[in-house]
Amino acid sequence: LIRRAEENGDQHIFYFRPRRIDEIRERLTIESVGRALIGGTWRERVPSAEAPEGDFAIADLRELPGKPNDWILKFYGIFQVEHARSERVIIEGRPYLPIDEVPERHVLVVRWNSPNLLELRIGRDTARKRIEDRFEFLWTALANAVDRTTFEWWDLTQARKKLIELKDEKESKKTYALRDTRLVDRSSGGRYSLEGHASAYDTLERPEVKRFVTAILAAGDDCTHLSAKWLAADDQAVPSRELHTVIGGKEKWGEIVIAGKCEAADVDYVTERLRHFSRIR
Amino acid sequence: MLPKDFDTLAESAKAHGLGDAVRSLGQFVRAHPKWDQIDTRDLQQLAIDHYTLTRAVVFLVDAGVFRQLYAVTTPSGSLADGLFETPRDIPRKLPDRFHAFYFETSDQDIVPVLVAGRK
Repeated sequence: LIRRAEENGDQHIFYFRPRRIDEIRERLTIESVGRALIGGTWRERVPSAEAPEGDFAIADLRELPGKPNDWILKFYGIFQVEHARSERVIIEGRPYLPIDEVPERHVLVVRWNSPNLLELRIGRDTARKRIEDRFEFLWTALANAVDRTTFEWWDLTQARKKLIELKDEKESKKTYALRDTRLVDRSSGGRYSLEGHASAYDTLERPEVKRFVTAILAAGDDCTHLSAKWLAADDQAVPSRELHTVIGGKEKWGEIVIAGKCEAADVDYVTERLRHFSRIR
Repeated sequence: MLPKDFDTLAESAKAHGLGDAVRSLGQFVRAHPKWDQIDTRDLQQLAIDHYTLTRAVVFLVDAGVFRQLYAVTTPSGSLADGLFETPRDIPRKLPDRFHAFYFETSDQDIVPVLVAGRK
């Protein structure tokens, strides 16, 4: 239950692909990763509930049921976070906002999603800087097992493009709905953001809007962000509920955000859907 | 989804002088079948004076047709994801629509929104 709650959803996921999987496949087995990061007796040392203060430590490394080539590596850390109270206090005639320091537990997850995806999962945070710091921490922490230079961003540009193009197909309408879109005009550097009604998820339903977006994409420009709602259905267990995602991130082509906690199978479902739409030409 | 049967309610609202206003609200809801929340700022486009509009909304909230919650505008003007029971429940920061950054909610507008009520 704890694993499910802290490993899946309410997080940014950064996707990477091996440049040449054949050259590093052996280094990406759980045994190889465990020995490199934790030591020869790694199976005796995880899971561990210990969370250091002001730093991260490995808390778990394990295989996934039914997926013998996949693994999850987890880090725990406790950090003091400042919360300003909303009520002012008056000290010697001057108003102050008291600040409470609250310890918060943070979880970082690395998931090897065979055969070709490395996922860095970082919990949502109000500061982008902290997310990027944790992103860098993960690559540093993985260095003994995984060489960053052997990976490249998974470019989700094609997936976003196809999600837009195919959104009116019968099968698509049962699977997902789109809302907000951001486009970048490569020739002028202009950015165009389309934000739909909060609950309607039909920004591109208006033919004029869809024509504009598809014309921009056909001209070779990019959709950098796309918010998609993955629909639940009574006759299928996954996704377990509607999943709100943003596909795209700040200059990070292989980034998604999943808003809200969900099941492990839900996150894998979104990843599989993105794999599917990336393959379509 | 928001409720659709406003005609019966319009009849009972007549006694309060709100029959036409409730009917107009019903037409507005039916014109947006995919919405599951109404940004009350959008109701200003209805040809109803503000006093009557407010009374009609309160009538429908009291009747359990709508429930009033609160949302926050993002810096670009759309509504951020997340609805709150009271303004005090709104967190200090919320993400923009693209989760590119968080903004201070105290710098933005708080907007009453209507969602489906008990009935």
